Amino acid sequence: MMQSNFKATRQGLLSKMGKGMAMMALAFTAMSQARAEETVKIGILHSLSGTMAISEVSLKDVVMMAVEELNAKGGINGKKIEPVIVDPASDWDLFAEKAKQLVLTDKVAVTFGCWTSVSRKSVLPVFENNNALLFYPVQYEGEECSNNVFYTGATPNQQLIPAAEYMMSKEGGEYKKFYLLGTDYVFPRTANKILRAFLLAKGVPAENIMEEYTPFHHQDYQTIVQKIKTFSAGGKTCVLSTINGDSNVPFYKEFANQGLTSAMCPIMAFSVAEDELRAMDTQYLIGHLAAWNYFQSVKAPSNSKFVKDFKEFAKKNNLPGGDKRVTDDPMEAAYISINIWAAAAAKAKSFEVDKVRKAAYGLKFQAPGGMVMMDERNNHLHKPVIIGEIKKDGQFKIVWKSKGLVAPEPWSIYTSPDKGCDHVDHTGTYTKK
Amino acid sequence: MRRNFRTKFYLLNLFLWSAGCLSAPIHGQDSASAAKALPVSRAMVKPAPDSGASAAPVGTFNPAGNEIPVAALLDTLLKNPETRTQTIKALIPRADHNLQDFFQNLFKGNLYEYSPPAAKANPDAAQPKILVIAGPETDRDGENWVQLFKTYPMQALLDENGAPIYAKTADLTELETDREVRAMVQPLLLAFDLDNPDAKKRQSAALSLGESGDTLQLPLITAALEKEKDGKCKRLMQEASARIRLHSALPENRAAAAKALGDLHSGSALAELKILASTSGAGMESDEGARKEITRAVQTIEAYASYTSIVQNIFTGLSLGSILILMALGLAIIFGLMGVINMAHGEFMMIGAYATFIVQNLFHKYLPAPYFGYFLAVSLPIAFLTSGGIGVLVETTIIKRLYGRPLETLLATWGLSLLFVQSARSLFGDLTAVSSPELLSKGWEIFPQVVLPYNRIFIIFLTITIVSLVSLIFYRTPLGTLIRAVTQNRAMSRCLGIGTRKVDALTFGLGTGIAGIAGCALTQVGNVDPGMGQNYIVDSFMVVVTGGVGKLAGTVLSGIGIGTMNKFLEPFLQSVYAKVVLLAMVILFLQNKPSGLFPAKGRNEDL
Repeated sequence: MMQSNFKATRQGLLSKMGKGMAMMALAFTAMSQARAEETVKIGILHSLSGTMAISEVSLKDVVMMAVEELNAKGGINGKKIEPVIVDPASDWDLFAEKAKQLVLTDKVAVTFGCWTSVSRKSVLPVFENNNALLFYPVQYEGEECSNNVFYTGATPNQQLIPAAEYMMSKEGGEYKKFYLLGTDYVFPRTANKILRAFLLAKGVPAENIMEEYTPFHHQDYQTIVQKIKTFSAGGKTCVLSTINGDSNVPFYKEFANQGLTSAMCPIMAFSVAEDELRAMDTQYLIGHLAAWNYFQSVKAPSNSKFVKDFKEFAKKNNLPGGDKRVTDDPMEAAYISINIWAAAAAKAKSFEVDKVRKAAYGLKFQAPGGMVMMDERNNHLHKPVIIGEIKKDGQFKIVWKSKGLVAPEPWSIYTSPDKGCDHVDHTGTYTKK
Repeated sequence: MRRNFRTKFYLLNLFLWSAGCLSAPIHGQDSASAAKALPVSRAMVKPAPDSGASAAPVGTFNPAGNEIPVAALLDTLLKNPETRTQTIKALIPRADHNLQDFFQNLFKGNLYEYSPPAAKANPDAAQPKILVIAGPETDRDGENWVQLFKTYPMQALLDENGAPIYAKTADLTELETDREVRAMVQPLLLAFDLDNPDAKKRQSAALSLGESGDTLQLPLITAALEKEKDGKCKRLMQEASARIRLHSALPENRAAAAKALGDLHSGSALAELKILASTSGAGMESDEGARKEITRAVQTIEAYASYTSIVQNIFTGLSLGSILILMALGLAIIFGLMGVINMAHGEFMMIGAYATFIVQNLFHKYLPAPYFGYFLAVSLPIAFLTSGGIGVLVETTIIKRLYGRPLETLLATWGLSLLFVQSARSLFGDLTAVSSPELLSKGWEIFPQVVLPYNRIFIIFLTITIVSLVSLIFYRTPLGTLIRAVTQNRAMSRCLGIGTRKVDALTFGLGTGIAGIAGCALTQVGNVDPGMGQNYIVDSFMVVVTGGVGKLAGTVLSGIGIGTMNKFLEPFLQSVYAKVVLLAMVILFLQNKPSGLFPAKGRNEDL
């Protein structure tokens, strides 16, 4: 509800969290010059209005919570963190403009932001040309290896491949036929390219793989559900879904209404998390699956604290939803992002981009969902992979967890076996010999 | 205070029970002795795979379960975690109804190891662990407590005083099972459902058993088939039985099964049959005669499938068409009759959808559960009035100053739409869920495998009703006459004493009100979110323009036409390309007939 009240401000300030209206007031408050020397500025570049607001506002919230926590511990290197919040309003061009503003005008030490791949691609030149740092917290299609971006979400092999492997495994149900269904944009297209290559490599015949895309905001899933029904009539079929945003509800509704159930043909989703389920009528989704690196239902003391802290933070700051708010994978990744950055800056005893980057390599962090580690040679994170079943309350019952951490593969071995990503011995993407 | 007392009471119960435990041995010890008497391997008797239609004695329901060492197996389950999977497998052929609860709870993960507390009389003698089923969790003083049940048959575990036993969840160890075990147990749970009084349960049981191809279950299906009265259940059971018999070792059984499947038009067996019918490959049928029968069955099923797919395409086309008509009708009135290009039309639908959302929430808040289903009926008029009311307000404040200046109305209403979207976002947040009443969930299965969802049937009938009502208003009521008069010649109407301002406001209100109804209907197929209107506005304009501005009949015809065309294209092209081709077709059509299907005639062309 509040997101519309945030205006893109030149100099937002958040040094002390007040109660109630503080969040709103902060965005409008001019920077206090007297304190300028004692603080280090960070940028938050998430859409607070427009179509992506539903997902991105939560990331801004969780970063703000981490800022509060870090400042309560005395800040980093003796300096308090001062966030600068801007609103790119789900507009890709505006993302680049706002990034430029953060990097050049506000001179932030680091930026946390973006959700969609297209927004990341649009800000990439800004960060690369000015040697600035961006932490990107969402699962993505890989095939990118920038020195100026830390990717804390999953690469394809940390989400897509384990999920497909699980569906083929005995405990997952030994599915033989796969319907790859996605929204028509870069992530689903690349994801399905990788999934198809993987399935073919595992001996699934090409006629047992169907691939289909729908436009953004597609609402009429009658024909597609019929196709799935015909395709799945022989049994042992599952759907691997990269359907995005508001198309999910009509899809799952039609799926259930035409008499298909999760027992006959489960849907494994890669873009449905707790935060989206919050606003859906879950009765149609029960028993379907999702693959992520974190669920709110992960049982760990660090996670109970994280969930509790976030609910309290939301309530205290009168965020919409209050203590009914949930945590999900991208939120955990955003939380990891700022903490890894803080740890790296502390280790480097500096906020300089080059020093922080070097310090971040190999850094470990006790994340809410368990220990994670930054790669030694590139800017991706080693993470666990978890598969969950959707429950009526919008939470996930965990049915599978990877043994240990899965190393990131920015270039999938199934589609680009000859490419690697290394910033230590190479300059980013290199060709394997 | 009271909760504290309760906790103490339960603790006391536990204590009393444990005190009496030595003298009154319960389940755990029973089963231990049974385990000695009966070796596990005896339970592994399998029914002959080709027992066929003549029901074998093994596998029929055995409510007594005396000869089956179930208790022993259950005990093994507890003691040997390594052989857990095999033990459960051994239990599976026993379709013993006393085991139903056990399997159901195994499936749900409600089985626990429980160590009863040591008896007071003899505190050193540890009590043997027993396997228990845990009831639902209850929260007492921040800790979760559950009631304990015996596993076989499921009965409340009682202490010596006959009081039920409760335990803290923290004190129980979950009997760990993986998804593989659950996958194994699922067909059995279904087999239990074969004689469930609920026909729906029997149907899904038959369907899944057929899919499993598990010859072990054949006698169960045959037994159930003999008792079955319901036509649909019978059909599904026959299909399941035939699908299982396809795995028979005897070629004549396989041929007979294929023939049965062909006669049943079994779409679900098609993929399997196709593999068998192929002349090469690993899965091909080895027997010549059986293969001929299988090929014939494939042909029968495919011919039937192409017939049903046409029926289905017509239905989906009608369904999409009726949604398009419902969306475009209001626009046809506002744009067609009044000449106002209303870019906020989609947002009036959004307002209708949010009105439905509010009504739903009020129902959930203030009315008892049995009435929830009626919220849709109530929200239809409310959506109409809300959207219509806001429409009248917009007309009297903004639109009325802009008549005859289409470009300005376009800009003004576009601005208005942005205003509405952001207000909705600020008021309600982003996505919001409207549930479907029980009555509109699921669908009507006209043919096997062809389901027409009730929500879509509802929208088709709603559209027919609204279109009829609108034409009644337009052609049979004084208001309709006034509207038509004003739209034909505003100046002349005013000269004749018609209050054109009032008529304008009412017409605009009618148009936006119908948009509100469309929004209400759309909650049954999709989302409610602030941006939803923008998903539909282009389609609405396309329908109105193609149909011919100012003609209701044109809107109806082009709505159905575009809907059906889209749905016949989609199976061949993907939905992305279907839309591209459709738009190209509309453009070509408008090149030839710029005024649409029903060009407006007469003097109102300058509108």
